[in-house]
Amino acid sequence: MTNWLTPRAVNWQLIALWSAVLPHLVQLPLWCTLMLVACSGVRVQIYRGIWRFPPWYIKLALLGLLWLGLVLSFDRDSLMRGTVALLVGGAAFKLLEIHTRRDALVVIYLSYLLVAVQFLFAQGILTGLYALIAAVLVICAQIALFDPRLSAPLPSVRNSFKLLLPALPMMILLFLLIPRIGPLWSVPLDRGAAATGLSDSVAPGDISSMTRSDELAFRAAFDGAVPSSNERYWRTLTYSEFDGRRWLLAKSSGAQLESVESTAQRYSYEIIMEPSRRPWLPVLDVPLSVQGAQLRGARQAVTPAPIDKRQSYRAVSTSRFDLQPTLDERQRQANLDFPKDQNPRTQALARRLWLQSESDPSRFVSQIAELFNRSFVYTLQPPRLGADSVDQFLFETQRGFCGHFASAAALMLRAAGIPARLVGGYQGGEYNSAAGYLTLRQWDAHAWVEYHLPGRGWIRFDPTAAVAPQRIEEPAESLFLDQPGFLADRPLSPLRFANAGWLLEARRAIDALNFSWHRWVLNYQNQQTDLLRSLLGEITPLRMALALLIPGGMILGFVAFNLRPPRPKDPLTLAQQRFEKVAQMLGYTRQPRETLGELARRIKNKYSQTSSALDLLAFIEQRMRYSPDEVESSELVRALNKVSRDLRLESLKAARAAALDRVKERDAGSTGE
Amino acid sequence: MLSLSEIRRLIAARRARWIARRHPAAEQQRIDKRAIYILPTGACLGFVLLLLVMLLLAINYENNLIYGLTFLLVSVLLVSMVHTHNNLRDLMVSSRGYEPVFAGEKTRYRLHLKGADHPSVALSLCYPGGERGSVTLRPREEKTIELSAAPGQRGRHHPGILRLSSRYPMGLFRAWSYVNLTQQAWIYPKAEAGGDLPASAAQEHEGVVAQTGHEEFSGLHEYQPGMPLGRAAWATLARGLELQIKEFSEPLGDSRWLRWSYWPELSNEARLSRLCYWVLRCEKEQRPFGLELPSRSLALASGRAQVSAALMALAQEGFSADD
Repeated sequence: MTNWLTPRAVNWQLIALWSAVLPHLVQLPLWCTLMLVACSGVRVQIYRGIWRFPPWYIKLALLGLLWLGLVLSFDRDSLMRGTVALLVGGAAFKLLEIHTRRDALVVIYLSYLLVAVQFLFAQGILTGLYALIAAVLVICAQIALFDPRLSAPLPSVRNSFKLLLPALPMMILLFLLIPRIGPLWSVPLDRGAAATGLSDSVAPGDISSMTRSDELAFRAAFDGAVPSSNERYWRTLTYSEFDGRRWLLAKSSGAQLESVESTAQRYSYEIIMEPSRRPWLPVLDVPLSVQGAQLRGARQAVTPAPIDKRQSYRAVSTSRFDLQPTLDERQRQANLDFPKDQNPRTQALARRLWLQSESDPSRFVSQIAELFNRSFVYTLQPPRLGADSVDQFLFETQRGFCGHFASAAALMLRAAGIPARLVGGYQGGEYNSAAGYLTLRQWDAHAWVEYHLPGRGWIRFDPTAAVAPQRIEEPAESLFLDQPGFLADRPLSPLRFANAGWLLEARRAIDALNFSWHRWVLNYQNQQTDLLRSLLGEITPLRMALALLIPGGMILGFVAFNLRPPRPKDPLTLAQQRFEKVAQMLGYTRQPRETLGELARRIKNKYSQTSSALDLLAFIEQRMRYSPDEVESSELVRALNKVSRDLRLESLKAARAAALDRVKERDAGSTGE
Repeated sequence: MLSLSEIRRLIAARRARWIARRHPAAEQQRIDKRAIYILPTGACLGFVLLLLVMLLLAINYENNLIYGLTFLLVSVLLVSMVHTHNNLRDLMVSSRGYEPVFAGEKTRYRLHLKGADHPSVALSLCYPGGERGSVTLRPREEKTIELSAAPGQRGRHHPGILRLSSRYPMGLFRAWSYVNLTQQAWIYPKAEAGGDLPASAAQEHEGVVAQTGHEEFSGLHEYQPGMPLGRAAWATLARGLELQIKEFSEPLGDSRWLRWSYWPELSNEARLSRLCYWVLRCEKEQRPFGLELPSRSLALASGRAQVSAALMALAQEGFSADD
């Protein structure tokens, strides 16, 4: 086998490698880029015959440098990026020792792998499109390697499309039908910057500025009705321990699941959750069941491992509920406990309000709401609070966000002897009516209070609604838009500008497209079973095999068929073939070297009705032979077609006449007997 | 107990017989799709390994886009198989003679290829034991190529069954087919220096003029197809006569007779090798010579035609030349 590499093949290898590496370079250290540039340059110089292949000790030194770079730039938490850097480095060094086709194949195969690995870091639609283009370029490079022609690069592109076009339907088929299985072993993922969102403690006093980002938290698609905006509380975490300043997750939470009674309105929905690096799942308050997660105490949905990648799960919730109507003494104490020596003014205020409301819990709650409504301000940039943070908030600053209000309300409830706790999660969501789902972003994060009434269970109380009712009724973005902290970390976010009119429409359409992409491509495994069942009916191995093999075979058959020689399209050739076929039917096979005119003259004698047409054909054919400029080929086509038609007609007539004669003869014979 | 090499030889012989049975010889062959064999290559093994790695990534990271890319490459693999198979199909191969060589050299055969209705890219052609040739054909393009076969003994040579293969477009599969053409070549003996010509070899008939040469015009001869047109007597043609060829002759000064009987102590092949040496030497010294072999003899003459006739006679000695 010739191992000679054409210049075209060398160019294509560089194009393929660069297109595969390009998306990775952004997140790799600069030395990776420099190394790749240097190796590509050396490769070109080697190919042009200006430099020679580097000797072994230079390669060894480079390998050492690569190792050093990897060790210095990456650690355990960036294992994946380190692996990508290793792949890039390997491919770059391989460029320095491409002697044969096999060496070139190593570079090409590494390029395929780099295209695939790109999806571990980004999975957007544009990433997908770019990867498709990169894959086409790598395929071109592989074809160029086996194509000895020295012409322009276009044949490779054309041939790769000849390969790809039939391959695409087959790929879709495989994608739809091949069953997905769970991970075979756990794999490392790079820990990125701590994701914004919920944490395991809430300390409103420690935060002086709340930056709200438009980062996607999750999307929810409902099977039937969508809850109204004041019902859209997405429960995620419950904080029931208070140390005077911070609310913490209950240490003992999760022992047993509380009962939920009186379930009237049920919502069934699917949530596609972005990676949060935490194990808690947001679910609509209050969840009845969650697929793929465990429902723990206080109805929190918890997954066994932190959510490191986008994940989807189904859940059923109800909006009217009696959650845990009776508390046992231990739970009651846990939800009443607070440091008695802190926040004394708050405790006193609570006792006073409790007396004023004549020990009626619901009146007490509305008194708290009235208090907040009177003189408090909702802001994303509250002042920092010192010791006795709740006292300071209630009596001095009176400015805060949901955490402040919820924290103060819960403490007052506990001080009045009503079991209460903080609930963290999300509230609201933007409804995309075109695609029918809710989008929740990090700015929708929210905290509210639950207090317990014997016989009624836990009741939701959102003190923020008393201060800023529009926070609950309207999407967060329209409320926060004027606030300085809003989108502070994203100065150029499209959400800052796209607030009305066609821009909003366009943003919703793009978001809907993204949602479909997430749902049907990135999380296809969740849709696969339902889709296949609706397409195939009962899923059996036999049906799956048939569904794969029959269309697959059809596609390959189509490819093979398409590669067959095309039928001659030239009307003259067709007419000529038709005439020859008719003549052969009549017993006149065209001899080699016989012209059409000669053949026509040969037939003429026997077929008198067609003889004039045959004469004309012979005449035109002869004229065409000797003065081709004077005769249009269409004339000959017409003459040929006429002759073929007439001859067939005449031969049919003759055959009928002969048959009639035979019948007459037989009749005559039979009457004669 | 059979040794490994013996087993290998037996298998090869069996295979050759099977191939010959499946591909009967003919003047011209079209490669039928049923006569094309296809197997994955080493590159395919690597590609499948790559796909497995990608599949593992897809499974472990539950990444549907990697699944998609993997499935795309699986599909490309399958489609490329069809393309590779198709690359050979409907190719026409016919024989176009050979380049004469001496024994021990690689025989070189000329092949005429006619492309199918689709391009045939990077075809590799090879006779058993010969060197590999490569050719690319556009649709319906015709090309004549020269391909060397295994070196042979003096006499009649059969190149064996031609093997055509291709890995285009992806190098993942190798398709091949066999073309059994009715071809043969005559191989001249290998020139072995040595011996002396006996005195009787020198020409006895001094002054007699041999038939053909370059030096002196000796007359006109009626044209026969194949005669050199460079010597056509255009003047006589202009006068309205049949086309005639001018004949030249040269005086046979110092000519030699080369006879089979000179070296009885040598084996037949060695005699032929020695005669070959003397033929070539006479050519070098531009000396007219005659050749006398058991089966035929050539009259005294010189020139390129005489040399090739003599070499051909040496090659065919002991064989019946007609088949």
